[in-house]
Amino acid sequence: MRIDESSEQTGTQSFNDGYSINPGSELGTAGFLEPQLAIATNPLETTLSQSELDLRTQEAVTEGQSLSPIEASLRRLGRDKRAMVCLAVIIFMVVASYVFPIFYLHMGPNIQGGIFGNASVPPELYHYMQHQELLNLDAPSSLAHPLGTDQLGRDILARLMAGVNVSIQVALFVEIFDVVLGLIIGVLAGFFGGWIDTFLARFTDLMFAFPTLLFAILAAATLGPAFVDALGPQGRLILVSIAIGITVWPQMARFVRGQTLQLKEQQFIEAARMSGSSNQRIMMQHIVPNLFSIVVAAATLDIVGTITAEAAISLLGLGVEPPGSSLGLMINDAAQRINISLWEILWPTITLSILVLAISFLGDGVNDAFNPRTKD
Amino acid sequence: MAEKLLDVQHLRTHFFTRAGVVKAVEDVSFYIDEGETLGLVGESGCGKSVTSLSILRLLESPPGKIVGGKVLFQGEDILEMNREELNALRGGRAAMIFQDPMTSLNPVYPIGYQIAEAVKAHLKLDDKAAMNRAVEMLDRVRIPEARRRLNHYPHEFSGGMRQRVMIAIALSCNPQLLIADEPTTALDVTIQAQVLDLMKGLAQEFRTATLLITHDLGVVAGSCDRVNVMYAGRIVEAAPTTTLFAKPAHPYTQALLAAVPRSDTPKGSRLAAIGGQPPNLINLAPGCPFAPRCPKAQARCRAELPPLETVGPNQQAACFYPY
Repeated sequence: MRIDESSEQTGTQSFNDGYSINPGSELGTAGFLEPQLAIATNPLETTLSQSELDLRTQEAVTEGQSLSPIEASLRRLGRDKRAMVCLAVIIFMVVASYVFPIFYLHMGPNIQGGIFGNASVPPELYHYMQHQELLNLDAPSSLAHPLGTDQLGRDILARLMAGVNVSIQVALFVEIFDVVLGLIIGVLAGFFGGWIDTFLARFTDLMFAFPTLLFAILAAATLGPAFVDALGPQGRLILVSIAIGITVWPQMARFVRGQTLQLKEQQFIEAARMSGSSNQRIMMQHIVPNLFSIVVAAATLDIVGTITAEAAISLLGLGVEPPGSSLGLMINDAAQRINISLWEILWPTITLSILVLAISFLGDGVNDAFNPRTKD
Repeated sequence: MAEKLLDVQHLRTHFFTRAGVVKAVEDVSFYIDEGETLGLVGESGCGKSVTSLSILRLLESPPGKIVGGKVLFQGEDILEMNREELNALRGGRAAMIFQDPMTSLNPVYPIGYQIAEAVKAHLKLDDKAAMNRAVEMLDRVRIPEARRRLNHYPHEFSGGMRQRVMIAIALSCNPQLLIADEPTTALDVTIQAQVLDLMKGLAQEFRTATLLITHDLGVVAGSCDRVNVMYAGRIVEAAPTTTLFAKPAHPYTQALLAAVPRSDTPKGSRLAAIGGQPPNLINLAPGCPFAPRCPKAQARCRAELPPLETVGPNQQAACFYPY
């Protein structure tokens, strides 16, 4: 008898404890637990009227808001600490590289410099990323040049920020290209099947066969001068971006096609067709929004490849042309001075590493949060 | 007697596959009167779903192709309709409920939007009126707090509730014909009964004729006025529900009924089963397709195909030796 009583007591106690520790978590468990509690503690009140129950569930449910799958994924991503730190790093680098140069041009003392070393040079000049202080080459960190100068006396911090800008521009351009082309071709191939699929899938395979770097090098070497003539100094960059984009989209198209094939078999597609929706409407309304997760996850991971590819091409001297700046170009320049000043190569490599690592980790986080297959 | 709403005549649907031509639906004729519920029963793979998909031309083509017959819907042949007429018919005058409620709603939209979408397209209502209609329909299918639930996503509903949402979508445009393709297969038994009662009640209320496809004879007994039994792509027996259960004519129907487990079967006894497998629809032997599994098969059954003939009042069967 006694043992029974005590065990019963501890049972209710732990139940009560659980309840008090966690009063109404996300789903509003309070409302669901209450009736049970009432039954457990008060044997006289064993039943609740339907209206009372309704009232309770209503209270419980209104507390938790309704989340779309995308909102739920974003929330999952928000809980991923590593991804959030990386996101902060990326946002910092992007904002800093675009905004900080404006202020940087007005920061710092006037220095003795110029061609003969006797002129007073204001920061507006020497903090311009193309300005050369020819008497102050390979200088270490100083008040005027926080990260020192390179082999032509240019401010390394200014060039670093310009280089990050280039990386981000290329990444954005390539990703837009990648997503648009990958989505269109993947959805069309997956949705229509038949000869359209055969044609598009074979075309995708064909494009997939190009190695990114080799293709970009080939394009830059053969068409580079023509693009520079036509579009000015930015021409090479645009050409390289297009070349990378061309080799990146087949992967995206494959993902999208695979997912579309799966989605197409879901009954809501059949139901949509049943309710009189046209093919175009089914693709835009029902397929594409459901591809959001996989596209976001794949695109984030593609950025890593894009940024490193651009750096590699610039490193080989086929990307951004010298007066301009790029992380790859800076590494190439600095590599020749590695015996004289080690820091010159450290800054761009460290920056590139941090950028790539941060995006890569963020990509992993996005993949975990958005990809339905990796869920829990 | 009410007018024929849907009249399917000699429908033939074949699948052209690498292994050969699968005659999934072969010379199927039946009709549904206004407001009536017709059951279509049979084993898996006997052509029930293909029949329903053929009626609304929802088959993937290729490989599926309707090779013959007529599907008259209020006198118009659906098989002759052009794309616009079809789109206006589907979801408007004829609606369909699918088997798996878990995948029949689009996960990225709130359900209110999904109901309103159908309403806007077919009833030409504006956004607000469509939303009101959605609330009304959710109320009708007894989803509590309909107005608040409008903004919820499919993953926030249970299977039974999703199927009710599907019913709400299907009935939102006042269709004259509702095709329900195994609407309760994916639900557990108590929910099945609720959903079936709901469908039955609403179909009566809206004066909607229902084609109920199922392999569950219990479902048929509970909700159908008449039953067609399919086997190997053909209708083998057609009768009012009471007649079919009281006096099944075709040996296949008899075997099906015998295979239903009953509460009064002695404990420990084996469940009755129909021996063998349904035939391969690619190479059908001449004669009755059920003959290899039929306990009463005679030489004639293996040589000749029995036509669907009247065997009793309102009862037809495709068998040389009925009862």
